[in-house]
Amino acid sequence: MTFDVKDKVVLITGAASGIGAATARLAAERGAHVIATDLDGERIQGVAADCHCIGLKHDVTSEDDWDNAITAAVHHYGRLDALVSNAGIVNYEPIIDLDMARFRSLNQVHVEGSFIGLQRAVAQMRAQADGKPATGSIVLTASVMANCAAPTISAYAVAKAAMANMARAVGVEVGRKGDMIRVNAVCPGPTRTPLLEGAMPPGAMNDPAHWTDVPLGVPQEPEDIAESILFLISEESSFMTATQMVVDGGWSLT
Amino acid sequence: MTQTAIVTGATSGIGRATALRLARAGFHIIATGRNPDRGAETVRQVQAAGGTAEFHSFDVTSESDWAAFANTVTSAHTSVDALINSAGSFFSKPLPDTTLAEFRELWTADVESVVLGTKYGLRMMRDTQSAGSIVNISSLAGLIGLDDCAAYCAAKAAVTHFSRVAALEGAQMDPKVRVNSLNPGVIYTEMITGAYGDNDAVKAFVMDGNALQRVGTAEDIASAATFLASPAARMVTGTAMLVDGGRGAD
Ligand SMILES: NC(=O)c1ccc[n+]([C@@H]2O[C@H](COP(=O)([O-])OP(=O)(O)OC[C@H]3O[C@@H](n4cnc5c(N)ncnc54)[C@H](OP(=O)(O)O)[C@@H]3O)[C@@H](O)[C@H]2O)c1
Ligand SMILES: NC(=O)c1ccc[n+]([C@@H]2O[C@H](COP(=O)([O-])OP(=O)(O)OC[C@H]3O[C@@H](n4cnc5c(N)ncnc54)[C@H](O)[C@@H]3O)[C@@H](O)[C@H]2O)c1
Repeated sequence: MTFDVKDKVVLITGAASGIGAATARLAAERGAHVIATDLDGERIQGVAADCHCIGLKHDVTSEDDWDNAITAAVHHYGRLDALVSNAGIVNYEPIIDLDMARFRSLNQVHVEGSFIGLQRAVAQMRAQADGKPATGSIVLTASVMANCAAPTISAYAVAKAAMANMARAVGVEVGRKGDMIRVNAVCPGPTRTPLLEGAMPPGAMNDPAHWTDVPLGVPQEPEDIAESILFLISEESSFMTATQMVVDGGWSLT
Repeated sequence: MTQTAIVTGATSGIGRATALRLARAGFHIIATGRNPDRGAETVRQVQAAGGTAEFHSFDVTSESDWAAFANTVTSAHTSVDALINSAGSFFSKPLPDTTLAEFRELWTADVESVVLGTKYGLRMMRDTQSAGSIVNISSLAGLIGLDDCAAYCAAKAAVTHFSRVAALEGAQMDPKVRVNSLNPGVIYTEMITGAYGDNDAVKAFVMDGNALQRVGTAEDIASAATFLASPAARMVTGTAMLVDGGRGAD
């Protein structure tokens, strides 16, 4: 059973890998018009070819790149129905070793990247509404680390908490303005992607023993997050805004 | 093989809408409530939509009723794939005027019903070896405060947190069972119209409290319950899923 995203025009950032690539693939399979973007201009073309969708090089820290990406969506499909702000990087360092350049780059990608994307997407959704209340769904990929903690993850946790509350603040603001544009955050727990792999000893991510601290006891796949994102894009979630949706196999329960 | 979903409170509002949505997703519906006429109407609506359903009348606050119901279900069905605990009730009254008897009555209807439902749901899923999903309908009131609703807020906070712990137990079963709470904001059903009246002023009040400024419907909650019951939510357990039009966010 799936939730309908057919014919929706969906822009997904960080789509060359992991959660973004899985979301692009599932959305395309289910009939959405996908614009898949990534900093890695080469790998994104591979994903685009697999998904039969548009692939674009797009650094989410660049305002010009955001303008390009939204223009491409409108050029090809006439509008933008959904944005998945998903590009991300991670950093594991004790706070006393963390220099400001790395702290800033984490916040640039997650916080500034999502902020610029929200501004541009809301502007486009309003512009295309033709005097009627604007519609659209924006999903930010935050993390359970928005509300949890682990050693050496302070910079990432700061950035993800900012993203989660950005969804809440902007969701309230655009709703109160009379628009039907919705903004929600998805908060994944540990998910089997290259981002997580980099944080673990070689081979550990694919070892079932590593997943025993997740109550459901199986590796969480990028598709599991993609399913929640697609539900949030579908009209069946049209009464959801300013929320955080946790997908973590129960990881954050204890 | 046809999957089976039990829906309590299926004679009205959120429960009935959820029964219909799950039927559209292909589940055979086991609808429950106390009122047999309204139960028959739910079965009729499911069948009219092309689904299959049966109705069982019992009181969700009675443990012996749950035990008998569980027996009937596991004798007749080979799997129990979803259980939506939607039966519940509501009242609003300033705390100084609320009697202990009124508090206990609501606690029984909203908390004990869900505790029993989850207990017998886990048993039915264990006995049929089903990797099921239990969805407990809590409320936004279980997460933030509402004026003159101390008893209801306390009860729904209990349901929300109880569901988290039940999720841990469900995850220890084999096969594993997922448990989540689903927390609606204000939804325009008989629960609201019964307490505040059914007119444009109530609707306007409800709309204005939501950031999205529209009335929440039973169908909005039915969709979220169906998501939680479905394989799309395979890794979602122990969460409180908020569907409130942004009401709680500001
Ligand atoms: N409407 C809202 O704004 C709202 C918001 C947040 C949460 N909720 C929650 O959502 C759930 C459903 O509410 P609703 O809006 O759909 O209300 P509703 O239309 O009043 O339906 C309540 C249902 O509960 C059943 N029920 C109550 N006590 C029962 C008992 N002792 N044994 C068996 N069934 C019983 C009723 O069936 P019978 O009369 O046939 O027994 C009825 O089907 C409740 O838990 C409620 O607290 C509602
Ligand atoms: N994997 C996990 O365990 C996990 C858990 C919680 C949250 N998340 C979040 O999910 C999102 C996706 O992560 P993933 O696990 O799929 O990681 P991933 O490394 O597989 O993919 C991230 C993608 O983002 C791209 N990217 C990085 N910086 C960019 C930039 N400036 N502009 C454009 N693209 C950029 C990368 O090139 C990469 O393709 C991230 O925001 C991440 O923080 C992941």
